[in-house]
Amino acid sequence: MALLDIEGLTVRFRTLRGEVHAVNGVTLSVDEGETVALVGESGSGKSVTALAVLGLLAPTATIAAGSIRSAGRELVGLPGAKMREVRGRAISMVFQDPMTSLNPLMTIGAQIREVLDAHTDLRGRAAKQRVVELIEQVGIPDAERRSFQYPHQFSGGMRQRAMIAVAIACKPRLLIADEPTTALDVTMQAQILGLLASLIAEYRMGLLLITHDLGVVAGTCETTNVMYGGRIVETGTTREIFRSPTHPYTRGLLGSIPTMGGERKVKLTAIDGQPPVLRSTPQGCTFEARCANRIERCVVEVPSLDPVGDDTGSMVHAAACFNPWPSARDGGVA
Amino acid sequence: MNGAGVHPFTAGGTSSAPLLELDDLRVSFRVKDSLGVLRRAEVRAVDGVSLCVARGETLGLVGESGCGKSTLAQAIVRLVDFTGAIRLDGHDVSGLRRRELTAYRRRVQMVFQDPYSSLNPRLTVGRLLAEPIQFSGEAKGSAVFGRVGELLDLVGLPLDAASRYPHEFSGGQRQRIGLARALSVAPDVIIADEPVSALDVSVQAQIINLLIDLQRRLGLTLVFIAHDLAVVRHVSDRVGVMYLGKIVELAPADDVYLRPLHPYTVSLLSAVPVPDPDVESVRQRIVLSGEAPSPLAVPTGCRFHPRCPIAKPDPCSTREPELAEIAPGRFAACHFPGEATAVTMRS
Repeated sequence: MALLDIEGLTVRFRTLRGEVHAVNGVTLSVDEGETVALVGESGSGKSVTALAVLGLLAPTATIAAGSIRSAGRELVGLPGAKMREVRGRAISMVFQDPMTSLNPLMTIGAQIREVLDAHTDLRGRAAKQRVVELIEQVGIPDAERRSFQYPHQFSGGMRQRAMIAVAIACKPRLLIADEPTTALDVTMQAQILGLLASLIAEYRMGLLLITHDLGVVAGTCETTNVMYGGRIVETGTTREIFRSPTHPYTRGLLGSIPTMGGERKVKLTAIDGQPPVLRSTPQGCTFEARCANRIERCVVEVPSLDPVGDDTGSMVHAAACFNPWPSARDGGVA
Repeated sequence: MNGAGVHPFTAGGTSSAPLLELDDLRVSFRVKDSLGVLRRAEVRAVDGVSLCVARGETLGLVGESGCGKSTLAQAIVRLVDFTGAIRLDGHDVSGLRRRELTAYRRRVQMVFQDPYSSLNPRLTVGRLLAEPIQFSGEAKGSAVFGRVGELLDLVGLPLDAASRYPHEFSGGQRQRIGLARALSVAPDVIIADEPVSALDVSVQAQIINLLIDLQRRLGLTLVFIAHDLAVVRHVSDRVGVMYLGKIVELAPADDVYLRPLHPYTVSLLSAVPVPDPDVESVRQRIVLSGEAPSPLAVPTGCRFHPRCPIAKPDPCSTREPELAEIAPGRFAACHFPGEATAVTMRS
């Protein structure tokens, strides 16, 4: 049984200008010990998907369809009190900006303590000791003294470590990290990614990593889901996706990044236009307006996620496109 | 090494005089304590930077947050006070006032990270662009409209953009507007401070392409500041690496990335995630421990020595290394330049 099973998740937002169809039928799963990436640009629906899992969607949002199961338990429609049992215990989340997600009026120690109070029987000295252990475990030196400090006394990288300590306090089965290193410098990013990797290995946690950075994905995740316009457009093993992307959006995304070894000053294959605002679920493919491979069918019909090449249903690699690039296994371009 | 007539820190083999020169540029800020009282302590945000930029060249500046790269940019366009000299075409601009300063800023324009907060939300794009054109006398009367149209075309925006307001545009389009505004006064130099870091990758690529294209067509000189090492490498001819207010390495882009001389550069490069799972799976990182020290308390000797994997007590912690030419066109401020490689630093 997968740690997390999302099926056909559809989320809509009510706004003054009408409904926004943020997530349109997302299906993905995370197994024990598996690291899964959800990659996409701003507005693609990746964060909304994560918030839906934790029951943290804004009041203006509704889950219009689909199911989210955590180890078999349905989370969609779960009452608040029951959801609180899941949050922080079975599933935890690390957010992008620790300054806005840590409580500025509570010491770091107290914020970790709060999680222990809610989900464990640890009290008093034992709880205190566990707090210090956790702070040490995420690599914050001088743990005991630090536990009495407030978030503003921590640097950006240290705050992110503190938030990870809060998230892993109850050894959750699944960790969702939403752009955990986007606000950090590269050297700090390398430290935090290293920390996450070691914690995941130690606890055999599943990780759902939400990011826009394909470099981070390549080094961290086994499985990659590429999201665009509220849909997953390509999914597969990270190696497969990077080696032979077949969806024009994935290709465009990979071509957009300047590489460290490529020729300088050459034209990057940018994707023309901008991401859509999803006022309604488009009739056809959400990428159609920006796509160089567009054919007539793309405008009127939604492509489903189908296996790529000779892959028959094992989902090593699947793409939602009527006119994809040939995959390397088809004898196409590597 | 500052011999008369010899311009230090230029690309090897460049014979032409540099367009922009910084000589021992320093910017410091007084710090306020928690009650808002100015303290004696100073943050030396830029702590003695000397470099030259040749006409038509792109100089990239990389460094982590707090290294002083944005302050350096602001000093160049004279938005903050500084000591040292800034020379444009050999003329010192540090004493310029009023009309002369305006004339200087016309030649050296800035593009900001966040185009939204740097564009007046109450002006249409047409007026945003017309204002500097009229002010600088670049065009008059009805010719202004023609010039606005040219600018919009140059940055790839439709003509009807002129009648719309900044909020009606996406981030990438706003950055195009920011670029058009910088170009409206026909500058020689553009200082671009993190011009693409707020954009999504697919849009970022559009703006990078546009910048490279504009530079070629207009013969612009570009100082490109960013924290993304791959982006800087892509657009730059030469790259300067900053750490705690100083340039620690300055060399042609390929040298910096393939044959880094300074251990900080080596570790910075090793930390950048590469979008290739095959490379990543075998890659060894040199993860620097800790964080950059506060610029309030710059370490003695080499400012990088407390985090440097190859530092020796003497001379690294006692004597500050100068930015010296180690090989033609390649400068590094290190007592052991070139000794740090991914291999030596791991062991």
